[in-house]
Parts: sequence; C-alpha cells; structure tokens
Amino acid sequence: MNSDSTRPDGDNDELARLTKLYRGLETPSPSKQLTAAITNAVDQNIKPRKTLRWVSSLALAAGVVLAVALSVFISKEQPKTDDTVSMRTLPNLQSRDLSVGSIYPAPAPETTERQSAQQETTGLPEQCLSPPTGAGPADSGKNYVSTPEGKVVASPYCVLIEIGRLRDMGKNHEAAILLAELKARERR
Amino acid sequence: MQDADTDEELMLRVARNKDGDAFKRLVHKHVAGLKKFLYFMCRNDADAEDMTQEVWMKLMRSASSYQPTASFRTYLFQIARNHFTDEYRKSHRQLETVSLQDESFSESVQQMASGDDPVPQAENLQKMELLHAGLQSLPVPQREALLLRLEGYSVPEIAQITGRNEEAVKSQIRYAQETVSTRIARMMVTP
Repeated sequence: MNSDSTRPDGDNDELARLTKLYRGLETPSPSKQLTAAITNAVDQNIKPRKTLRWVSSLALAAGVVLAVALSVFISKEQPKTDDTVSMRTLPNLQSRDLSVGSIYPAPAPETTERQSAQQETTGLPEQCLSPPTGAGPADSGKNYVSTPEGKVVASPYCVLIEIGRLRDMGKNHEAAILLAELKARERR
Repeated sequence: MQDADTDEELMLRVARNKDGDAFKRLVHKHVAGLKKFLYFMCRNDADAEDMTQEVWMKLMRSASSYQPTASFRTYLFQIARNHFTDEYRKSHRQLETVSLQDESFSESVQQMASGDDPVPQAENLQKMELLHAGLQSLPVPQREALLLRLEGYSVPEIAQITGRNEEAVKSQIRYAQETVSTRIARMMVTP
C-alpha cells in the first residue's frame, strides 16, 4: 500500500512528514464497551464454527444410517408365511420345534372314528395317518413314507411330526432315516 | 498457526463458514485504525465509536457476499467511507458545527503532554494539534483522500474506496496536503 510510484509527484517528502505526524497522533482508543458490543454482536449473530456444525451433521447422518439399518433388520426378521420347507433349516430342527402349527399350519381336520383310534395309539394327527384298507379315491393320490410304526402321509408337516415323535421315543436312527427321506423328496 | 492467516483468509472463513473467532480476530486487529479514520472524518469521539460499531455490524451482515478482489482493509475502509458519507448526508449540519478542538482530542493531548521530556513533546504536540486542525479544515473529499493516503493506501486503492478516478484522487491529495502543510508552517513561524 505504500508504493512511492503511486504517490502524487513532488509530494514525497512533505507527505512523509505528514504521515509521521499523523501516525504519532494519538486519538482516543476504542472503548472497552465498543469492543465488547461488537464481540457480543458476533456471538449472537454468527453461527457456531464449522467444526461444531460438522459434528452435528455427522450425528444426523449417523442417525439416518442407524434408522435405515434398523428398518432393514426388522423387515428381515418378519416370520415367513411360505409353506415350503427350507432345506437349510431342516437339520437344525429339534423335536420340540415340531409341534403342530409351529412351522407348518395344520391341515384341516377330517376326523373319523377309525383315525381317532389310530391317533391315540400313534400320537399322529389323523390327516397324517395311513389310509385304511380299501381306502376311497380321496386318499388314493397321496404318497406315504414308511416308518417303524407304519406309514405316514409324505407331507413335510406329517413327516416332521413323525421325526419328532421318533426322537421322543429315542429312535434317533430311524428319525435320521426319515429326515433323509424327506430331504430326498424335497429335492425331487 | 493462527498468526499465519492473512486478513483475507480470515474474512473468507467468516464468509464461508460463519467463523466467529476469525471475525473477532479481524475486529481486534483493525478496530483502532478504523476508529482513528472515522474520528478524523467526523471530528467527534462518540460519533466515531458509534460509526465504528455500525461499520463492523454492516461487515458482519454482508460477510457472505465478500469476494477477495481487494485487500480486506480496503474492503473495510470502503464500507466505513460509504457509511460516513451516508451519515454525513443525513446530518450534515450537525457534523459541521462540531468544534474543531473537541474535548476528547484535548484530553488525548493532555495525556501525551504528561511525559518525562517536556520540550520535544511540546513541539511535537503543537504540530499534531496543527495537523489535527488542518485536517478538520479540509473539505470532506480532500480530507478523506488525504486521511486514506496517510493511513497508507495507494492512489488506486483510494480511488477504489472512494469511487473516484485516480486523477481526481491525486488532485485532492495534492490540494489537501498543501493546505495542511501551509497551515502548519505558518503557525510554527508565527508565535
């Protein structure tokens, strides 16, 4: 700001003297009230520093990410209503998980006196029991799997119940054979 | 390091990030110089204080539009000069009728006279009083041009601050300087 080239011609010496006088002039310095008033106004009118705003922005972003992650997690935890058997979940099933309605909805009841009597001896639901001798056309289309106790309708629901029943009786080997049979049927 | 920040960098931080600390540093650095300029322009300490505060408030409100096309100090004094011009137009009569030797200046002269070496100080004080009186006697355009020159601004910078062309600024500085120098010389010769 003090370049001599920009000074008016012929002024240098006199201007230098005046400048020296001017710089030596002590005018009343700014009062403490003035400085305080300005800094107070700054505190009231200027927002927090960028670093603070960064922190609040970061917290907001983290909150959004958490909310999204939570909603995804909750949606994945919703129970499946699909009736098909997942092959990955079968080996983990325990006998106590095989109660009616725990995994597969129970078929509609078709109670007859004969089936009720058989149900009492085997513990299987009536719709899983093997057909009586000379069964009618309604049962002719069903497939069955053989078990140590006889035949069981080859639906995942019935087979799993039978597997659980066998395990309860300590017949783990037979239960494993039946499970393998079920898996083979599912693959087919 | 904070001291490495230039005024322009500090002002950009105010403009972009609303950095209050940077603004306070600019205030502490320039408030005295700004007030001195306004004091000589308006000839009254209370008015100079009020104007100084208002200039900083204007700077704060317009901070977001700051562009570093000139030095920060030039930008600041441009706001100050425009503010003074507005106030001068509003209360021209009031500003012109203030005593050339107002109380605050006399008080500062008295404080300076209380030093250990009275003879050189007395001579210096006399010159300072004459400079003060000479500045106050100048028309406003000449006074502001000479004051800005004495503050260290170049002619192009003064032209930018005042909105006049450089030739006009040079002419105003020359007339102002002649008036003040002549007045000082005459008073120093005449007992």
